[in-house]
Amino acid sequence: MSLWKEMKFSLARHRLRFFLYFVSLLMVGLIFVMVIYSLHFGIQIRNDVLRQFELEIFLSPTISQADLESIVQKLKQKVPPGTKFRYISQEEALKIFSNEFGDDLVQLLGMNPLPPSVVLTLPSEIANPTYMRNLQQFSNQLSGVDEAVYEGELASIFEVRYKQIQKYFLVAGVIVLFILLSLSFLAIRSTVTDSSDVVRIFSLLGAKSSYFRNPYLLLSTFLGFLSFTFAMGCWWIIHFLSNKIGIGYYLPFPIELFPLPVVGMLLGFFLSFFSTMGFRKIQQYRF
Amino acid sequence: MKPLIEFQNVTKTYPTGGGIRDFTFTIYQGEVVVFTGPIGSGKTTILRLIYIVEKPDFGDLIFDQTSIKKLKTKHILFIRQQIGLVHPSVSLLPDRSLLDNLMLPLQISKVPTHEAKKRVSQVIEHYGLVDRADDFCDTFSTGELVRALFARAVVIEPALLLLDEPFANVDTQTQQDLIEKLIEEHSHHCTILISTTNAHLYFPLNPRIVHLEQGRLISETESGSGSILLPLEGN
Repeated sequence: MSLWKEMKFSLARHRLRFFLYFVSLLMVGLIFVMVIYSLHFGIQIRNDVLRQFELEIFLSPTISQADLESIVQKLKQKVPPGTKFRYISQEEALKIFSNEFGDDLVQLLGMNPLPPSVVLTLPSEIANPTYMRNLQQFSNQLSGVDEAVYEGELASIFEVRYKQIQKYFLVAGVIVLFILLSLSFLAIRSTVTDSSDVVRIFSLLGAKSSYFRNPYLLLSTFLGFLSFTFAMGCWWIIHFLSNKIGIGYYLPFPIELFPLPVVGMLLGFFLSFFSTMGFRKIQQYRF
Repeated sequence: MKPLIEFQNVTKTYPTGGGIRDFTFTIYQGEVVVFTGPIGSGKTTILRLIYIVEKPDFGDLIFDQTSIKKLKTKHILFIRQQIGLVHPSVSLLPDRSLLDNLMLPLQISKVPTHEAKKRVSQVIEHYGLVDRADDFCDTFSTGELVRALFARAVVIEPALLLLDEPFANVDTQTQQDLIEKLIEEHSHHCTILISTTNAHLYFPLNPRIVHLEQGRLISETESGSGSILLPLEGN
């Protein structure tokens, strides 16, 4: 009863400072959301590229039918059942290129430079990036094969680039996080410091330090929970709206965001715990 | 009478001056003691030591047969919860109503809410503050504020009341009212200790009057002896 009352009094007394504390923790929460999002999104894209499990084997333009059959035969022995084979002739490749880019290469170059190819699509339950790389290596050794391309390599390149960008964001994030956490701490600390007259009266009336610490701990823990939940909610709204306009893939709502309110609670608790530490010495007050 | 508090050669001084020196004195349960003397004579220091916001530099202070040196924080807080304090610097909280201010010491003492509410409403009525119960204390006049401070001190039904110059800037009518209230409290076996420069205001309480100067006990009267100060032997 008195705990709730004291919480109410604290909130009424320092409305603006608690608002500042809430807002700065909300910002911290949003940074956490962005970090989790970027980690999740990076993995999502990489997995999506890898999940294609397609191996494109470019053949020599002068390859004979017998050699082609031999290559297919050897590959069939190597790959798991359920693997789809698709032969793309030089003419068909030209058609695909022309459809995609609108240019007629024969007209431009006076010849068709595109080689024939065999595209293997492996079942995703069996294939994995290591298997694909092994198969790529095997295909490259077959006679009549110019080059086998596994697009998973793109994913690796993408991953390296993405990690480089993440590093910069991480440094910037840590700096901003430090500023915001300092701001949160100062906001809660200033409410405590400004309450020294109240704490003095409490102490002189025989209250234990917990009598004035607990309402602060509870209030700031609750606000920590609320701000991080709010940050999560903001991201959910962004995700929801992006789904509506068809860009939901780029703004996913990772499941890893769900423990955030607990993180907010803990953060709020520790911030107020450290900011009220000075009031442990209840006997310092005199009249 | 049973001793409640014993000062045994207590010395407590401050770098800025004041305090008490080699003070030996016994306060008995149920008596009224008025500490008087000029500013800096050590009156408030005695109250501070009894309320345990200070500890003696030398000597010992015995609370109900327990030395102050043996008291732990929880004991100190418990003792404070049993003492009603009226001191101008231990004011009411300005951002709370009178009701909330009077509930505060009872909540600290963990008195059940229904009992606390009952006591508070009785005290508010007794001290003539019913109309002001829901008002914030920063709107109170000096007289109302002193009444409210008395109300907060007695709401815990204290065994001991400490009053430090309680009637500064208070009109005569309020003084008389509050003296009557103190007489009532005393009739309930409450021990009352007052620090003041105007001891005569408290004669209706038949107090023991203790005169201090420069931190030393100069003279004392016996309870009920009125305004006659008895010089101590050797002084």
